[in-house]
Amino acid sequence: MTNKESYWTPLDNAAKIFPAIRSKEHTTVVRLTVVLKERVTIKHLFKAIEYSEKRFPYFKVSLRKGFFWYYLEQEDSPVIVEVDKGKPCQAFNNKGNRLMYRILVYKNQISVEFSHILTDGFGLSEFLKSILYYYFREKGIVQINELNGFYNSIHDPEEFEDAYNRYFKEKIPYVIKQPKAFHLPYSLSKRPRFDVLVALLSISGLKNKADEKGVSITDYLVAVYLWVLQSVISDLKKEKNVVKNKILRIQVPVNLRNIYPSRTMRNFSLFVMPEIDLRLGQYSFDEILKIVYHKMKLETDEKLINKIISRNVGSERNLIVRGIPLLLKSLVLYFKYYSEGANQYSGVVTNLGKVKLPEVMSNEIDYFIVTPPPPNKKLKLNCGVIGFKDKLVLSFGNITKSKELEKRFIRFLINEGIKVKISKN
Amino acid sequence: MNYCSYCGVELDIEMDTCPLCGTSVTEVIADVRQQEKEIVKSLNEGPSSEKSRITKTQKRKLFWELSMIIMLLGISVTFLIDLLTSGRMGWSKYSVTICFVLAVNISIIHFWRNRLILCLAGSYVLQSLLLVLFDTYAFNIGWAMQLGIPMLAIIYIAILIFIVVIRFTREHGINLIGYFFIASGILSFGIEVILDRYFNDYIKPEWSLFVIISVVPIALILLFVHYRLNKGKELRRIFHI
Repeated sequence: MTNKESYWTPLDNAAKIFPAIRSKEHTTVVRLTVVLKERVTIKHLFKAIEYSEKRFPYFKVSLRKGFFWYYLEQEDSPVIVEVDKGKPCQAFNNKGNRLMYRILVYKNQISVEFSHILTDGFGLSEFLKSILYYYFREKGIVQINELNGFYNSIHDPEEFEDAYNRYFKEKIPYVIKQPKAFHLPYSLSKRPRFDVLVALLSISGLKNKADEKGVSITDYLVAVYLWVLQSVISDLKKEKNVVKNKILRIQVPVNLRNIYPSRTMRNFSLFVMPEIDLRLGQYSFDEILKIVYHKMKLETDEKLINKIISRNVGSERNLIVRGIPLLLKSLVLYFKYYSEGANQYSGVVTNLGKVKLPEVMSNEIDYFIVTPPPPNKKLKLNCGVIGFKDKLVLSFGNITKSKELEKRFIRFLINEGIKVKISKN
Repeated sequence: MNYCSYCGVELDIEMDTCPLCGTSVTEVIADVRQQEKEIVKSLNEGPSSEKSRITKTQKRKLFWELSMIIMLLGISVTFLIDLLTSGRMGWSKYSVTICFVLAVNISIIHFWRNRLILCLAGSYVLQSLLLVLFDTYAFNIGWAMQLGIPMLAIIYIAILIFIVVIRFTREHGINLIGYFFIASGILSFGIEVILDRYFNDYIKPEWSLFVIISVVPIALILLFVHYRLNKGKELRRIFHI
């Protein structure tokens, strides 16, 4: 990445779908917010952003159309820093500043919004963490020698590799297509549709519950989601509504860096999809938990992940697919996404895990919020999860007029004895 | 400690305005300072700088007013001279018509400058009227309806497409010449079709094909050079498969 010749790179395997399906509503923009205990000092923040821009030069790119594929090209515009008073996760337009990330500030909150074309949850959190490191260094709270080596070094070429391609293995059978999953029946709200409900709960309270059942927090939340969806279907049936697809499936993104070593900051995650089939009858919460637990263990097996990578990267490498002009390719991807991809799951639970920072920095931070990209018209709702110290934050992204699922989800947790606080965020 | 009243972030004590949203820290202080700045600025500039302080809108208005005066003068002077010398409206009808059409055209551009379609449509109607009037003056042989107005339509459509392409093209360079060449090729084809229909009753494009064959390769070369130079040295990024 030299200044003499502008840097460009093809999109990574996971990002290839996003330009074809993104729109003003379905923006494919993900957001991570940090809520500080004190007001943001704007002078120090600007300095911190300057350092972060330099540390992550591969994010300073714009999306360009090639003849066969989209690609990313170096863009030297300054990063957009705005007051955070609008709707979250708004689309990036192609006019003026063509960068695909922005920073938003309001009182004691700093948010970063990234197009999913650039990175996944891991890259997003690393970027925000870097801003925080530099910010607190500017404020004199963290000393240079206390900084992680990562933040004091220049970027490594591995940080912008397409790791899917590195770990692609040929001649592996593809995954078998799955039947359609249930979708929530709620009608869509008026544009702009995306609305977020943020709920705060105690990690220790939830952890105790999960430990009692011998599962992880993610397993527990996915099970709650499935249980709530099952209760929605039961009520629909009571009201004599016809429910076409009775398979409930939750998409759970998995950070592949935990399986395959890579320092990439671009997309490198895949999905595991625990499911229950209501054609077989009603499930108790414990039964759902058992299924989720085993499915999560089984599907994160390296060999099975290889299978999914093989399908995704395999189709990208297919000569016929490669030779189709971009416009046609985008059309095919769009229709394939809505006719197959979006039909596969009834909900999404994205857990970025627990953010870990040095003690001196942690004392200055209240909590984090991850807002997953606005769900598509079929999915209608998704859930982001992130933890910090003892605070776990759930954010429900919703494009419908109904808050029924969120209500049932939170009521379930409260009934289990977990205290939940709804935040004005 | 200073806080921005709009975005709520903490500001340095010496900051007058929030660097994030541009809001003044204290409106009163900022207002006074702004007034002070303006007074100092006007004192420094003095009365000689009056002209430079004319805004773009004022300049446009001045231009329109001046044009209207010139056109009105043109109309009245030529009409009066013609009337006084020949006792009737003879040659002056040409100058009067031209000045009138020009005045209305300038007004359309002035008032509808931000409404491209309306501006072009208004201008097209006026030019068509001009052609019809000229046709009427010249023994009414009907060329305006069958030749002039259709050709004018093609020219205006080409201008519209060209402006739209310019607006949607990010980098302006020799690519615009390339687009212009392509547009002129298509334009000449359209003109030949209209001429063939008028003179021969059948359509057989000849010379316009030569124009297209000549200009399209040049246009493609210009577009190639432009986009290749703009995208760096590698064509691989555009054609990577």
